[in-house]
Amino acid sequence: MPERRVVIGSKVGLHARPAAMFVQAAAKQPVKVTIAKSAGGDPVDARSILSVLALDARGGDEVVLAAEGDGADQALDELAALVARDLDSEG
Amino acid sequence: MAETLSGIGVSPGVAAGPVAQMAAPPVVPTDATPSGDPESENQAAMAAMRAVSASLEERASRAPGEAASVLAAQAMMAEDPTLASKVTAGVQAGKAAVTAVTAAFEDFRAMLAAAGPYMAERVADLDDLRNRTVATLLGVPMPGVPDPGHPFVLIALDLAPADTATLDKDRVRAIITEEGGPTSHTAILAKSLGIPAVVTVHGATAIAEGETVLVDGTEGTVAVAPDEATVREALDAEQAKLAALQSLSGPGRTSDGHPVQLLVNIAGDKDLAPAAAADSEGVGLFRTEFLFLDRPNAPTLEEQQAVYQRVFDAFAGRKVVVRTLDAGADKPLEFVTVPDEPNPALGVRGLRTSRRHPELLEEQLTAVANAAAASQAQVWVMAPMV
Repeated sequence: MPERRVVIGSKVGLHARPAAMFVQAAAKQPVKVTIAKSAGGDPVDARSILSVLALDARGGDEVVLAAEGDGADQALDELAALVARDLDSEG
Repeated sequence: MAETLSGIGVSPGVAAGPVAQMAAPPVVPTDATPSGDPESENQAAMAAMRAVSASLEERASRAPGEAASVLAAQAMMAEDPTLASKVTAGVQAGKAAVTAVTAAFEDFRAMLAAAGPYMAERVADLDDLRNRTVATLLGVPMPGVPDPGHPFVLIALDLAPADTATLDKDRVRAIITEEGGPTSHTAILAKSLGIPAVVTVHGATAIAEGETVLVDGTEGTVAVAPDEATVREALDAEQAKLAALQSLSGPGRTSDGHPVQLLVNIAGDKDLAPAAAADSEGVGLFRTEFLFLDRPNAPTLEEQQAVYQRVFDAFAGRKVVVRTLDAGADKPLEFVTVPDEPNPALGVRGLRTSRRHPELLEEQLTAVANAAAASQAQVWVMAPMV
């Protein structure tokens, strides 16, 4: 299954606004994407804000994004790029 | 026969109006019987969650700035697909909709709470969401501050910060709580809004919805169903007292003649005009953080000097105590606050930041000194968190 490992660029981690932006972007993808902490833990649905918050992924933590099916690679590239950005200091 | 309840007056003033009770969070029935039709239970649960999400989105569209993003984030939680599938799994396992919803929320609550105190606000958001969903399913009043569509006297068991954030003083004539205390959040908020308030009023939550009450926040009394003459008399007396107070002026002192300065606090440009107009002997605390917050760099010397000059001119002949920059945990500044500060509330903040950034303090003091030299105010400087 295609996956991407990416280090979280936002200082606050996948919380607050960065988490909301990530979940909204995941919901727009044609495939179901999962996210897990590289350090271990079960992958959760990237469209679930509560699951993403419960990961408690902090800035600098590495996460694994995974998806399957048509368009999986493109969806993963897009979401990985988003996670790597410092979303909190933008706009 | 009118009955008078008493409590502790925590915010002075007299007001009368019809009661609106704040609904307590709904109680989840432990014996909710499933209908035996998981499909209809599931539809009911999903409809309730959609309704809650829609009402949060609608409130978000009317709320200002920060409040809007909090409400929008909460609406997103209500639409969470994993939450929905947990609810569906619950009803399919034979639970009633309300039981399945409560259990699904509890699962996430435990996960978020396990992530530490950092998540406390999200846990509170989630609890509020659960209460709204359960209230919708049970058809009971929505928890939170009521909106009867006319000015009212608010009665609650106690008020939480989240309840009071949206209190409108044009609609809430007085606040009565059954619990709370003189230092409670309710007391502080009511005083700052100038709403009369009485706390620890036993029996308050039993007063009927819509009943007229006369509240005296100075005496700490609540008259239930007073006659019109009593209300008119009390309100007239209050007006007369306010008028008498307004005719008093001059330096403050105790009744035995000991002088006590009465000073106002200011923390921004918008405070300046009302503060200067108040009959005070000056400013006891001029907070300067507003000049530095929400910007990537410190304001220039000229920029600061112009603001200080405006304040000093408004208080010409009076005292102004300027507090130098107090950046820290609750007021982080991009260019001052250290991201890895182990103790943000009490560590390197206030005056201590000048050890790392002496130029900031230097510039601020220069700007204060320049402005003071060109004004008639008696300017003092206070150093925070020494």
